[in-house]
Amino acid sequence: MGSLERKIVILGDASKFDVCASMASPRDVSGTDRIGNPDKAGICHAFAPDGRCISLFKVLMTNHCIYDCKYCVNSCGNARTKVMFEPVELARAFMGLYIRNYVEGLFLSSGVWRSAIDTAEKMIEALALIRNNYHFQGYMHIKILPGTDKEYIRQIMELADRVSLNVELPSASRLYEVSSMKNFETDIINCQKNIHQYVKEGLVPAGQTTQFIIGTTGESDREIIERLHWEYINLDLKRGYFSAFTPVKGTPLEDKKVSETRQRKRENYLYRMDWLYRRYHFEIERIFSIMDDKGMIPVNIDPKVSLALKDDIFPLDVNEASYNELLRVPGIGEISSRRIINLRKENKKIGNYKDLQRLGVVINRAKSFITINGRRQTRIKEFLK
Amino acid sequence: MTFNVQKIEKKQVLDSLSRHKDVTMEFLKQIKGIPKKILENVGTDLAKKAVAMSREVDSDLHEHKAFLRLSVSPHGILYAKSDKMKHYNEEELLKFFQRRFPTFIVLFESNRGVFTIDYDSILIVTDMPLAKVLKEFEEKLPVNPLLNDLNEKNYRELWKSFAQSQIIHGRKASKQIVNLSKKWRRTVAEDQSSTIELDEFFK
Repeated sequence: MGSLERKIVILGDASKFDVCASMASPRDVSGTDRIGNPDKAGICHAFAPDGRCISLFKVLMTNHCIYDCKYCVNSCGNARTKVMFEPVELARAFMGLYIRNYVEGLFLSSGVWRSAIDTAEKMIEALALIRNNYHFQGYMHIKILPGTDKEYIRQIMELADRVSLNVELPSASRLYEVSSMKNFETDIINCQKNIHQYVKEGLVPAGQTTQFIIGTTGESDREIIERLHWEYINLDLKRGYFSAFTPVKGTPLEDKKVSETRQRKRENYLYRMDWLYRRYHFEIERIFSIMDDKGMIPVNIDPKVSLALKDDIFPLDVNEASYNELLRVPGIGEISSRRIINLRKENKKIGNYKDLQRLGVVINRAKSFITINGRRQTRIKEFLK
Repeated sequence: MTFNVQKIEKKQVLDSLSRHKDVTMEFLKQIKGIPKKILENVGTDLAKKAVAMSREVDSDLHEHKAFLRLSVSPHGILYAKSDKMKHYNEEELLKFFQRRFPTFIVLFESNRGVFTIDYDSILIVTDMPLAKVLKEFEEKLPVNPLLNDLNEKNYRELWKSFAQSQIIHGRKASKQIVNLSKKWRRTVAEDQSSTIELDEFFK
């Protein structure tokens, strides 16, 4: 294995818990003196056996790190082999893969080598090579490191399509449980505010995102969603990602007992709640209302069904309900709601379940919450049996 | 926050259908006659059939955009070969790569011949083998200096190593992986079939 391949293996492996689902940028690309463009549809170039799409060249600049985060595979106390890309070899490896249609763009994160500024300088050098020397005009998602100076943030944002800074944990006290060196306010929130300021000035067309690690401390779902809600409101965050904590060998938390199934389910439910809030515009108080005393989303029942059971608008007549009301019905999503409304505009009425099924409604989930022309065919109690 | 739902559009359905390998003029006329709203809401059995057929074409194209790997000639030519293309998608595929790599000539060989698009986006087809077409182009085009440092031969190995590095051991999501088109499963992540993980998975 050559030196470059070895670095890719180590730095690819070290970045695999970073989540990046999107690869679309609204940036207009024109001219012929360039390589690449961002594709709005999103393309997966491979799939990992765990079902995740591999589309971006997702690596770290280096796995050296001065921080001591207890959950992290790259923390300073970890005895793993430490390596670092030279900017030119990272640029070459990425561009070589891109023109061969192996990857859709670049996702670059990093450990903090010497200081956030030193690492940011290396990252900027690599990004500038890719954008200016190779005239790459495709998608680049770059992680901003905690504590990065404002000027370096701006330089990175001038080159990237999207940036993100991982909040990791929902509050200063939670962060302190796993890291004695990171300051929640100055290293993370202030940096995010700086990013937000530059986003408002028009940098990074795909905006900023963040990521939470789930299950490292005793944080509740409510704490996470509250923090996310704050970021949506105050930082105009595009979206939040969640990564279920997995104990990694060689870290202080390697012996922490976690149920992989429970963790995956929790991650999934947080994504669904985020979706309901962000895309379906469910009010945050309603989302909190289904949580238990410990602030956790119940895992024995589908979150949207849970919310529907607390809602007093049901049963809804599908021929009369508004678009937003239809979105509140389990089994009806954006596409089927829109189709129902479109048919109504054509003066066509839904007559039975078969009509709804043709429009994409999941009847078994929806039928307890709807009526068709005033008729109701199943009771909620029967549905829950 | 944005609100963006992917919609079925009649124009898009007709466009895709026209590239379907089994479509007839008569069938296309029938589909054109379906009112826009009915077709876009998949409101009748005929509309359902049309949308399903157009999706076959779209999937065929999308899979090639995603999983077709290109080879690089130092003369600024990207080329690839696939025997998996069922529908008449060659032109769309080449347009996609031309938009992405406007400084390169792109050659694509399917079961129907070797295809390329010239600078005015006119499709050129030949029944000569890809190697011969490539050689003719190389003779006419100068070496592209940009490719000097991107022309190493081990990118396939680098990709395999990278794809392997992304696996989180202990996590499996069988639903997603079995949804992947069968014809690409064995090659999708560059010889994943030779890795222990996927061999175990497909047993």
